Amino acid sequence: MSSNIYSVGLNHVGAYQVSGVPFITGSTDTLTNTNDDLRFQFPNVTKSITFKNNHNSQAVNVHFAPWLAGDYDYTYGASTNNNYIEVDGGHDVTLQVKCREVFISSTTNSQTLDFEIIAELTNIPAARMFSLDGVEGVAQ
Amino acid sequence: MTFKYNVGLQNVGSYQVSGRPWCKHFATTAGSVEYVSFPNVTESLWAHFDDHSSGHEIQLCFAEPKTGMDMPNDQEYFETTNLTGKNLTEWTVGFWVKGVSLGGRLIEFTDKTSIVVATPTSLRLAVENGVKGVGTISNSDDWNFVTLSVGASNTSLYWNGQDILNVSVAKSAPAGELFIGTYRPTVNFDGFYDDMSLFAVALNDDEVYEMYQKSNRLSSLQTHSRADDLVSFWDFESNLYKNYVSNPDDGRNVYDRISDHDLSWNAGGSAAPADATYALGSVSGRALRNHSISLTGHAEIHLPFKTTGIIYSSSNIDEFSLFASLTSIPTSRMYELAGPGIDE
Repeated sequence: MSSNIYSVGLNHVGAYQVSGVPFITGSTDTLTNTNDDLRFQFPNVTKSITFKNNHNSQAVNVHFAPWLAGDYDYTYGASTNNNYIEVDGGHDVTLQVKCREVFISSTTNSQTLDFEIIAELTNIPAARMFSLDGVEGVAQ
Repeated sequence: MTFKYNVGLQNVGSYQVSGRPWCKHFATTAGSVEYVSFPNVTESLWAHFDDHSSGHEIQLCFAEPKTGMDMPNDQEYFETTNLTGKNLTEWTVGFWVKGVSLGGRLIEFTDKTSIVVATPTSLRLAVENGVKGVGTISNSDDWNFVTLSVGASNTSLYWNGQDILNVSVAKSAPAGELFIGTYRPTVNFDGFYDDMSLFAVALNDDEVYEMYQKSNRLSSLQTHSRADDLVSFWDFESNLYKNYVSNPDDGRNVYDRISDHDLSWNAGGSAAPADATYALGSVSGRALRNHSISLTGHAEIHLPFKTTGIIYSSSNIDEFSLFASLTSIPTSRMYELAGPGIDE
């Protein structure tokens, strides 16, 4: 059977109303300094993302652009205008947000991370999502 | 390519699709009050407080900042543009004023028909350029509501809705326009004005008090028992730029608005009608309205609201993360958040 050549668009309401496909990842990496970040790309546009910080004390930063301008072909960085949120150790947060990638960075140097990302994915291809580079509240 | 059309505030689909992210991390300072605006209408918000020390607190609210008019220098004034030719045989004018030191001329008509002159503890009333008496005032460094009610044979001065001076004087209808601030050299009022209204009738004591209670919003004034006599209302928001005149010689306009972070706030509510300076970080600010959300420790909260902005206030040096899921609805489509549960 041939594959369907058409895909749903970014503003297709039904794609967000049905339950999403699970996407689970995480990391226990150690980041050398606070300018380092980890990039997590999703195959499809997200419906929601849960960030679960399993560390017993140390917070992590969550952002939707690289920490530094110029990384990953982004013109702007999340750190330029403090476009990030902190998730405390032992806490989690669920954000109803569409995106195709997220970035995690440490709040201290030589920090060993311990977190999980649980994303609910739509069937909208990631290529349909617009770039957040230079977008207010993300990387500008 | 830009789109000519955009979605409206009630477009259901805009809220059903997941929004695009907006996030920011704030380092708060002691006593900081900041209005955070979003580029689009929100679908929901998430806030997280990072307390640096036990007992610290941050407060969130949705009351939108209001502007007043700042007149710090000599010869700054606001001149009405619609009174010339009107035969105001009776009239009442009321306005909010806040002055660190009331030492200047507050209000007068072009032909000096009526003048209110202030000292730090009193208002001096002159009618047709003749001093008629002095009324005692208090707390002149806070927002107060001044009302002048002028009848055919009697003129009364009010401070926060209370009669402080009553004189019998025969006078004619004033000619020309009404000024607040002053266009005369060396006479300076250093302070702020807000929400001025004018009635074409001499309001009595009860009606003046009602005016005081309803003075901070046109929709409230339109429910006044003498609303049919309401001639004008100036809220001193951005749509009144053209009325700001600095120097009458060169005709330039100045935009002496209170800056974005030094705002006057609609306090609202029958018990607190004043446009009080709303220090969210203070206990008095919270006690006044209780329309704020308090976060302590490392608390976080989801807020499923549509808004174009949020205000946070912290009385300490702390950190605060704010995330918004943004719809594609432009902020221009959103109405002003005001009323019960917001600022009343």
